[in-house]
Amino acid sequence: MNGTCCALAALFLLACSAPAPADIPVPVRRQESRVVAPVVIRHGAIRGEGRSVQAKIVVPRSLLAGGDGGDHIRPKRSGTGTFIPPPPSPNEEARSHLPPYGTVVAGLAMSLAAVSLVFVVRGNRIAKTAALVVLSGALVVAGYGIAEADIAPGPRPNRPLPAPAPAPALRADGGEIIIELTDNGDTVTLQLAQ
Amino acid sequence: MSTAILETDSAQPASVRDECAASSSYLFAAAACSVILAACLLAGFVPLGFSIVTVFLFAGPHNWLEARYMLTRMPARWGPLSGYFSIGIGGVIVLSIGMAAVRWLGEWFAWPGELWLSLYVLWNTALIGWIATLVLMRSLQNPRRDWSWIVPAALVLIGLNWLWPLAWSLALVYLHPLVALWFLDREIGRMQPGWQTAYRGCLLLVPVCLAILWWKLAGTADLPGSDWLSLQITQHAGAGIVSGVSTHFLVSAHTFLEMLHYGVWIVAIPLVSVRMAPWRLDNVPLARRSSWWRWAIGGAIAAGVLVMLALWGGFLADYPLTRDIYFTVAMLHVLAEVPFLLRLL
Repeated sequence: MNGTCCALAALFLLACSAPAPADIPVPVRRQESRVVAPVVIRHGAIRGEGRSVQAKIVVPRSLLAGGDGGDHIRPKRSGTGTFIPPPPSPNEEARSHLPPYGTVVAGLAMSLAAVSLVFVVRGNRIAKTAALVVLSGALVVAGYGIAEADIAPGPRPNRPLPAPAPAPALRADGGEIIIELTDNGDTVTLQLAQ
Repeated sequence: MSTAILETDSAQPASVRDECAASSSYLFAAAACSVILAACLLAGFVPLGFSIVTVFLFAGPHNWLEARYMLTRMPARWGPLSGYFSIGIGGVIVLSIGMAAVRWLGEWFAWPGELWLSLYVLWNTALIGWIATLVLMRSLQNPRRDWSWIVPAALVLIGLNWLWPLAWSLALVYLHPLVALWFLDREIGRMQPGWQTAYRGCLLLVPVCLAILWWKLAGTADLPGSDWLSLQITQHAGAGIVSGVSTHFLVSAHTFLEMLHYGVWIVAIPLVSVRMAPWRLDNVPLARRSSWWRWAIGGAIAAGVLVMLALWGGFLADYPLTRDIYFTVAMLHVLAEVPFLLRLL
């Protein structure tokens, strides 16, 4: 009887894990794609840069939404804590917080957990209690996955390629622009060469 | 007649002993509650300043005293525990080097965010696998133990890690300080069992303090400061990952838990468990193996003092850079707690 219940629970868990390959977005706040900030415009020679530089823009890091600066614009020191990686660009989708094949691996891990649970709980009262806790948590996760999964009728559209890293210099009619991040101030400075 | 005298003589010392034990447990509880409440107040009112000061003062000493404690608990000869300690210490070294390599190589080569995330997820997966392996090995050391439930639990945690890697990493940041409280509970149970009830009663203050911090600070404005150090501290506490919660609460909660962590390792565990000056080696089993070992252990303790002094110098010279380096290298001590905690269970 106990073995049958465990087997049924494992099968149910496996069935619930099926939608796991769907993308489960991390519940993060949607990032704004534009920031309005005061700007100071200066005209004059841009010293210390090449002749092809036509403009230079200095952006305070504090304006990049509390650390949501582009991952392509990397500070000299990440300065983050031990575990936390630099946050992605505000222009990326929320799903970018998921590693590649994240949902696939998660689904496999949950399935293996269900299978191993069957072997563990046989004849072990304490393990059965722990199994109930694990099963409850897994059901909550699976339910969340079902609720949030994009179950499209057709093939999934290709994920858009991440935006290429903006090169420190952009070409415009043969010219370049310097984009510089600074720790100081709260005003954007735009310097235009004469 | 003589029997009555004997009964009287034996009863009095026991009651005196009980009174001493009770008064010492009350004293310990009073001290513990004072530290918890003071840490909560300071973390709530001046979180950034409190974080800066506590890390400066206590980071190095707590690592040194933690290493000293681990020397007390390391057996002189591993014998049947060779496999356990080999995997334990080997895992500590490999995972620490892996974390440092991901951090610093990633910065040096400017890896894209997706690669960073993937490597952190893989590192977390390796961490869970390593802990599960140690738990299973520990389980096999005693036939009455059956910790095979760790396998499905570890697989579920791996799944959660792959689904919500940032949340998982943040959870580790907040759970690590609590491990010290678990250590202390086990040590009190071994060395001062009369204090255990009082200690566990004091522990109830911790969630109460966290609830008060949440109630007062969760909805307040974020902490000011766009300088590099403030960003370091707020990001370490979860800014950018947790949305809708003030960074004031995040930093306060994290700093409060870190202060408890430092208090346990610097004061409580030396008081309860080591019970002697940290430079004395009388209770270090390894030091009793041979004079060479004794000299080596003494040298390691002295080297630890030098590292501590260098850390203070680094903080004075360039606090943000030293803090950044310290919290990467300090992964070593975080991981080293795992095999020793499992030995206490």
